[in-house]
Amino acid sequence: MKNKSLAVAKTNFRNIKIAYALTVVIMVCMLVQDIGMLVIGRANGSGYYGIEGNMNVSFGNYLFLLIILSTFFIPLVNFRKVMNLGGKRADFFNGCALTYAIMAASVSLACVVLYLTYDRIMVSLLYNGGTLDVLYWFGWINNGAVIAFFQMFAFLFLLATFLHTLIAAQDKWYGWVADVLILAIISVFTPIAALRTSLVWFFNIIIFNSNAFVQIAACLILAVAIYSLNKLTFARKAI
Amino acid sequence: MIKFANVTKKYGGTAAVNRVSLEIPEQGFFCLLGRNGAGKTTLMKLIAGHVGSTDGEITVDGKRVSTGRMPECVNFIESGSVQFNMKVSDLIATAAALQDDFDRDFAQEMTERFELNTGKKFRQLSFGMKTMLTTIIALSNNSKIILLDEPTLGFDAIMRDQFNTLLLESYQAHPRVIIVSTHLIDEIAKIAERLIIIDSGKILLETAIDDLDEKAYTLSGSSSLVMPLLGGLNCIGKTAMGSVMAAHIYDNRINPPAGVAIDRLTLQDFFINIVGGKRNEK
Repeated sequence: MKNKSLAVAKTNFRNIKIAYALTVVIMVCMLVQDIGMLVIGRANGSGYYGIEGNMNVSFGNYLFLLIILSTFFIPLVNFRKVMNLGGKRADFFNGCALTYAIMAASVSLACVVLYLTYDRIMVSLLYNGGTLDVLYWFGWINNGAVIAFFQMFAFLFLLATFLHTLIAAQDKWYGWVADVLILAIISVFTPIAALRTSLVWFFNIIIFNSNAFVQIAACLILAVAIYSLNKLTFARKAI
Repeated sequence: MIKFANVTKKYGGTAAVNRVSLEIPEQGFFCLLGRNGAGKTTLMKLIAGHVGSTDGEITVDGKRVSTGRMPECVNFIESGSVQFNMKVSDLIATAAALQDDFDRDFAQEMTERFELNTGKKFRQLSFGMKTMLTTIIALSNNSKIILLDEPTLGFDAIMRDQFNTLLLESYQAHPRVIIVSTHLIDEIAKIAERLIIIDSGKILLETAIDDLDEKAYTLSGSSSLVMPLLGGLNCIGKTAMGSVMAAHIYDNRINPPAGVAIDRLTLQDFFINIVGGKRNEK
């Protein structure tokens, strides 16, 4: 029995070249910037090359771009091509979930490793104001690198499935309704204190939760619930 | 095997397929003819579950077809279908990984026979070669039903001949339902067994091609001799020049009187007359 979901995932990974290219370009630019600053910076007595209080976005966090861009290319471009090669909708559905799971895990692993290595070196050399890293700002790294990896994985998987679902539905009326609802929730809930509390509660559950396991479970349950809507979307999608 | 029960498919307010009832009970090689925009592609997409019907019911092997329930045994390939820009060999490998009954040996043999450069990427291929690759991928699947939409678009005469041989060999190796839509009528008539003609979203005719050899003919001669014969016949078109006329008939053969010649109607002429005959007479 062939694993057709795995075949879809492999095909997806091979056919998001623009997402790879843009991510690499951005990361190379950041790398060049860091190297340039190191080259032109002059170490003071403490061995520090940057400007006092310098901050930068964590190098690994630029990999989020890969996930975000992939959620555009996979449903909008790859779906039809997979169907043209004789793929089935159910296999595409499962294969995309596998794609995002692998991608979220890879990006999370890279982020944790880069946070603990590259970012620490750069903080000591260039950015003594620290790095803007979700691992730090969301408090996940406080739970240790392994738990932080799983927390980031769950969050990125939720992000990927949410964007995939929303983008796939853009050729349907309910996709537009979802856009309007999201905008309405953000613009109406944010300024009104009573409603803002519910937004804060929601983000506390999926991001800032003090209990890592609850945060991971909440993200994964929500991701599965949102992603299952794709069965409806793709079942009706004409090729 | 395939059954349409009063099926309508509308795009906006326009019916591409209009209350079609059709049954294909067993394997066979079908030629689907129709003018541009007649509804051929939509008919095929409905069978494959690529689009859903607006009304009516389509069943394949007794199971209802919809976009949410694409039949596993149907493989539909469009000539201009977009593919991943991968090497030919990688596209075939991907198709093999995505499909249950993919015959890689057949695909390999066909790429060699049609001199497809397996190292080239899809976008580097000519239009004809892209179509050939797409068709080879479709035929390599041992599905019970293969639907090919304009498969010879962009082919030169030699490629078309080779392609028709390929279709025939594929059909002989794996007897199944093959439906080919094309405008190159007489070429496909050499290999197809049955004919479906669609016009303005409606099925005009579904018959065996051999049947046409018997029933489609032209009566020509003096108008005064030909006209009286048409009363009891299904005349699908007429052309007149002065006092001489030719009447194109789709009906049982008759023994014409002296002075009236009877000739076989080619499939192309039959198609032109049955689809546009009334319009041509105006």
